[in-house]
Amino acid sequence: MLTVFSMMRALPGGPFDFEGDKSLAKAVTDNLERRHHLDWSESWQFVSYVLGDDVAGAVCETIPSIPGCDKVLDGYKAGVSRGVIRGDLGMAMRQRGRTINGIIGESFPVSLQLGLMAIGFGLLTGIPLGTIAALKQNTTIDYAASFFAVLGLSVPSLVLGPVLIWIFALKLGWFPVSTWGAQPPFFLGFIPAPTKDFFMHAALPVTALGLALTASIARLTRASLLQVIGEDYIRTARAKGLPQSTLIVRHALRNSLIPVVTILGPLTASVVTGSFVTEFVFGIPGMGKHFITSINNRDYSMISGVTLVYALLLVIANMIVDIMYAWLDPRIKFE
Amino acid sequence: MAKLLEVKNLKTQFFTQDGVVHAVNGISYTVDKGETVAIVGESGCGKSVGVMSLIRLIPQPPGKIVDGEVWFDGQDLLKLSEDELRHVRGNKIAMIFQDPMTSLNPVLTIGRQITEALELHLGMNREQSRKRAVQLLEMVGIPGAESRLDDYPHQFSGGMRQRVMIAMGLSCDPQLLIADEPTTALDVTIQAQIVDLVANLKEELGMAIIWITHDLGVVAGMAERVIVMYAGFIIEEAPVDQIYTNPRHPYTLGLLRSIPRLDLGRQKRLIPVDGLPPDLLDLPNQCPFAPRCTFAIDRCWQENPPLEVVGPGHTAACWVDISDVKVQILAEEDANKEAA
Ligand SMILES: Nc1ncnc2c1ncn2[C@@H]1O[C@H](COP(=O)(O)OP(=O)(O)O)[C@@H](O)[C@H]1O
Ligand SMILES: [Mg+2]
Repeated sequence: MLTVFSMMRALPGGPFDFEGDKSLAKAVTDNLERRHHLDWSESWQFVSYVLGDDVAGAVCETIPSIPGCDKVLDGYKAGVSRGVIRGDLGMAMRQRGRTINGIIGESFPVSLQLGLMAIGFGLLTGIPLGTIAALKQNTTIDYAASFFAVLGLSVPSLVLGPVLIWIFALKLGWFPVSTWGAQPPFFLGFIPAPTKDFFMHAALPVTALGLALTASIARLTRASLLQVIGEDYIRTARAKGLPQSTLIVRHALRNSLIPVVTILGPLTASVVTGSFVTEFVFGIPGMGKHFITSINNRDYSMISGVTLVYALLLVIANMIVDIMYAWLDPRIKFE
Repeated sequence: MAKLLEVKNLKTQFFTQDGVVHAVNGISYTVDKGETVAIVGESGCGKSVGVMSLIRLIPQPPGKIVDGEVWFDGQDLLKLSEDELRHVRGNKIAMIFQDPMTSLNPVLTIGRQITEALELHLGMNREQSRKRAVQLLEMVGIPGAESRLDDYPHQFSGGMRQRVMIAMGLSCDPQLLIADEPTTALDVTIQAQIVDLVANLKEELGMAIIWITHDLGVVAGMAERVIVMYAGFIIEEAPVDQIYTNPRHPYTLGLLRSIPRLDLGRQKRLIPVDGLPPDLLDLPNQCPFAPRCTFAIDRCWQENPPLEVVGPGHTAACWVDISDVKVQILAEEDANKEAA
C-alpha cells in the first residue's frame, strides 16, 4: 500500500493541474490542495490516510517538533479523512463532494457481477469443453476444441470486445451495444435481480471477459483428465464394473479438477485486469473505469481506494481457492 | 473338479510407436472352482497383461487382444459386449492390484469405494451397503471398521490399504479373485500377514484365486498349481509340489535357486537367473530363454519348444530333459568351463 501511495505521487502532475483554458486560479488550486492535505509532507499524508486526520493532529499537538508538523497543525481540523483503518477511503479529489466509499459502493457490485459471471462462464464452458476434448482424444472434436482454446487465449479482450459488439450488437442487433442492465439496491449488496435486461446487457461483456478463461480452463481440464484416466485407481474402478459415466464423473473428474482450482487464483487476477479493458470497451459503470480515469486524473485517494479493494478482492479470491482446494482434495487438510 | 475358467490361446499385443509389443503370446490354462493357481515370472513377462486381458482391462489402444477365448460361466468373455462384461467385473471376477497406494481413489472415502460395487451389482441401498462394508472391513481385519468407513485412503497404512482393496474385491462374493502381486509393494512382515489373510478368506469363502507373484517363495503355502511365464509364454505348469521337487524348465530351476534359503550355506544362496529377458518387440522363432540358458542346445535356437506333457498335470516347454542326470552333469561342466 505504501508502494502505491508513494509511486502514484511520484508521477508527474497533480490532481488539480489543468492545461490551457481549463486551468484554475492559483488560489483555488491551493485551496483544493490544502483541503486534501497535498501541502503536507508525504509521510504525514500517509499517516492521515491510514490512521485519520485526528490521529495525525493529536500526534503533532503532543510533539510539535516532528518535521512537517507545522502544516499538519495548520490543516488537520478542516480534515476529511477518518483513516483507512476506520473504513474511510477518503474524499474523491476530482468528483466534488463525493466519498470514495460512495463511489466504490456503487461501482464495485457491478464489477463483481461482471467478474463472477465471467469466472462462472469460464468454468461452465471450460470444464465440459476440456472433458469432451479429453474423452474424444485425437478426434475432430478434440482438435476443434484445441483450436478454439488457442484462439481464445491469443485474442485479447481489447479486440474481442469490439468484434463482439460489431457482430452481435450492431450487425445482428441481438444484444445492446453497451452499458449495464442492473442498478442498486442489490440483494446481499451484489446480487442483481435476474431480469432479461440484465442478462442481455451482460451477455457480450461476460463473453469477452470469460472466453480467455474458457480457453485456459478447457486446456488444463483436458490435460489433467487425460492424466487421471491413466491412473491406477481408475483401473480399479473399471475393474469394479462401473459404467463409463460413473467412472468419469465420480472417479476422474474430481481428481482432474484439482489442478484447475489451483489456477483459479491467477485467473482471478487476470479477470481483474481484463475487466479494466472490458468495462472501458462496453461503457460499464464498474470500478475498472474509475481505476483508469483516476490514474489519468491523478486522483490519489481514488487510486489508493480502488487498489485497496482489488488487493482485498484477490486475497479473498485466493482464500476461496484454498477452501475449494481442501474440499476437492481430502489429503490437504491433514498434511 | 468343475472348470471355472478356461483360457485358450490368449494373445495380447501393444501397438506402440516403436512397434508391436508381444506381451502375451498365446497362453492357455484352466482354473477349477475354488482352486488357487499361482502365476509366476520376472516382471515384464506378461503376467499382469495376461490376467487383465481376461476382463478386458488393458488400455485399448494401444493394447489389443488379438486372439483367444476366455470361457467363464459358459460364455466367452472376449465376445461379450462392454455392458455385459461390466456385470462380470467386480461381481463374479474381482481383481486386486499391486500398489495399494495408487490403486485407491484419493478423493473418495473407502466406504464409498466399497459400497459403490455393492450398489451396482447387488442393488443394495446406502444403508445396506454400508452395513455390508463394515462387515467386509471387519472380515479383512481392519480395527474399528465402522468408524473408519468415512476415512480417506491416505489415512491408512500400506498394509491396511491392501486390506481395504481385498475387502473391495470380495464385496460381491466373486467366484474368481485375481490378485496381481498384492504383496510386492509391502514390507516383508506385512506381506506374510496379507498372504495369511487371503488364505484364510479363501478357506471361508471358497472362491478360486489367481495369485500373481514374481517370487516363487510366496507360492508354496497357498497355491495348488503353479504356472510359470516367460516372455509372454507359459513355459511350465505343474502342481505346486512338482514345481519345487521336479522343475522341468531351466527358467523355473533358475527361479527356484533365486529364493533365499536358510538351509544352504552363505555362498549358495540367491543365484539369480543371469541376463535380461528378451525384447518383446521382436521375438524370433527360437526358445525365448535360450540366450540365458545353461542347457541350451542347437535346436533351442531354431525352434520355440511347445508345451508338452512331462508328468501328471505337469507340462513344460523345453527341448531338453533337465531332470536327466547326464544333462545336468554336462551343463555343469559347460558352466565350469565358461567360468575358467
Ligand atoms: N500400456 C502399455 N503399452 C505398451 N506396452 C505395455 C503396456 N502395458 C504393458 N506393456 C508391456 O507388456 C509387457 C508385459 O507387461 P506386464 O504384464 O505388466 O508384466 P508383469 O509380468 O510384470 O506384470 C511388458 O513388456 C510391458 O512393457
Ligand atoms: Mg505386473
